[in-house]
Amino acid sequence: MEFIDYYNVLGVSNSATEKEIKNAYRKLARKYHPDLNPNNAEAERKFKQVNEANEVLSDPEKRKQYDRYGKDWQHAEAFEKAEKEQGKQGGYGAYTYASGDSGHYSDFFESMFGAFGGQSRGRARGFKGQDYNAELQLDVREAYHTHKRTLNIGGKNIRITIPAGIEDGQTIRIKGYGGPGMNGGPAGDLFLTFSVLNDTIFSREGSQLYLNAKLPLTTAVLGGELELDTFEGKAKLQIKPRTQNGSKVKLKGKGFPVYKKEGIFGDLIVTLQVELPNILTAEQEKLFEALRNTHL
Amino acid sequence: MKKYIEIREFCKGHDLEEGFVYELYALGMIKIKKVDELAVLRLRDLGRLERLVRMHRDLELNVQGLQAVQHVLDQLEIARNEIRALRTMMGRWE
Repeated sequence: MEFIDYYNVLGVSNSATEKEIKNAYRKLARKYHPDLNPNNAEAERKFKQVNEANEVLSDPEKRKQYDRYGKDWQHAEAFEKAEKEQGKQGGYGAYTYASGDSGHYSDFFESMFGAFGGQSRGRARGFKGQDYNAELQLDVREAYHTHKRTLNIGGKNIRITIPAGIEDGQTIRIKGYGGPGMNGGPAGDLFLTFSVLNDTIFSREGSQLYLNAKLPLTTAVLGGELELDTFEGKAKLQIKPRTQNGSKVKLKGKGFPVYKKEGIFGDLIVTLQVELPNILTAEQEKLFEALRNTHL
Repeated sequence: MKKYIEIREFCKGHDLEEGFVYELYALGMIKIKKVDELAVLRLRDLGRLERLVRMHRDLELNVQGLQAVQHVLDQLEIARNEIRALRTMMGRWE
């Protein structure tokens, strides 16, 4: 466990006044507040440090204790004193934001002031438990179907239903599956962000799928039938005569499921890429020559 | 399955003045519905509202300040989504 220099965290001197500490804290807390820095783990870590430093330095009793025993936190006396000091009131309230990782305070803080040393003051009501953030990787084929998953969050198994059509980067909130509440407060929530990996031949944008399909030259010119892949297997596509290279065809309902709309699918957009032959037989070459002579 | 929470109940749980919620509503930052003559919030909108409550308390922002911050955060979200969509589109050309 490492000693934490709370003065350094707030960027103030050891002799800083209460006002200087408050100003430094406000400035840094605004800078790193997780609600202003979404998905920024580093800002969240710094915010916790700043909040913790404020917990100690804004409370005259805790500050005194920290100044006296801080660097010698392993000294038994400090622990004894810390026990006595728990529950004392003072200073201005800690921020309400709580999130992700296992603890609200550092091990250093908890060893000095007890696990809930910082939460004994501030608002009198129960505290909502920590919100947990977790990421879940899914294969795009899994995201195609509504399915159940069992997750282990904080040692607890949670069975969730993942609706078909979930998107890469989408976050869902599972109420009450965060950390336990304190003083009778409600449990926090679990925010689960999905990372959907796509290694298929299809590109995906929401419920739309995109596919590049090769089209033989003769089929492009004369029309015909093209067999192509969809997410649920093969499909046959009627090609109109004189189809141009790069033409797009929309296959309605052959795309990805629409999120939380069971049975409704987006479209598959096929871009047709006309293939020019690399090798010709003598007969084919003759036929092309004949075509040339028609000024085609 | 429960879809709504009464404003009164939400405010009690968060130790919050009901007037604050109505101020946010007046500025168009949240939606309020009437169900059985009761003013309610949709559960799926609570994440956004709780974030506003946290910023109101933690950053000492009034509702006008929250509106400005929310606007910037919404713009950030739009920009992120655009980047994601553009990356996907670029992936198709690679």
